[in-house]
Amino acid sequence: MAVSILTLSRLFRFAGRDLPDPDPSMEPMDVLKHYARQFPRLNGGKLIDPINEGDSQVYEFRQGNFGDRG
Amino acid sequence: MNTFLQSVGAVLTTGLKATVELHGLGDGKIKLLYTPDIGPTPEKSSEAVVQLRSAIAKPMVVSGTPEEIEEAFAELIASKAAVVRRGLSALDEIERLATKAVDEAKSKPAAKAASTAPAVGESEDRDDEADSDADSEASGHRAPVATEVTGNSATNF
Repeated sequence: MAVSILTLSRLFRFAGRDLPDPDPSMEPMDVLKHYARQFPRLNGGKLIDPINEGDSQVYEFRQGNFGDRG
Repeated sequence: MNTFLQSVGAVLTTGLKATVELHGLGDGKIKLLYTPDIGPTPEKSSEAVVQLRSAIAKPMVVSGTPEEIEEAFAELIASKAAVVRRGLSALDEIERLATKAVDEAKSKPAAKAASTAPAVGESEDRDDEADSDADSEASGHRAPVATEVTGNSATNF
């Protein structure tokens, strides 16, 4: 049986919106910086470990102060 | 042949910004990322606008030797700039249509209210006439919709 290798595409999620991968060669943190230009709330934001959804690897961006207290 | 800066200068119109990032790849090769900066996306933008803006701001990535990049850059950046221009004009059009729709929606209820207001007044008058004997004062101060219904039904019967 032939083995096929599937490549997971990346997807970035912020505030319930799915944002396309600007460039597969970019590091996820660079993608966060890239999108911070369009969404200033992402400045100092956090990158959540990816989860797999179908054939996509979904990275979530969260605002910098999300969940911080004290 | 245009130099790198001449090529960039040719496509950057007034107010447009872009970031150029260079990475060394070894073996005399480099990677160049050209990212148009189209500014922040408005908070309540629609999904379509967010996707369009993401597409416009997508970086152009080129790798190769500096000579190869220099040679192809003018053409590549011109095509990228054309995409950005088309996208930005589409965004302007979307914004114009959205503003127009909002303005129309705002003016409609005002016009509706203006046309329905006299009708309510009339119905109140009719209602007062119909119920002139019993509790006329109380019905006069109540909600106009309720009095309109009773008034109409009274005249229908």
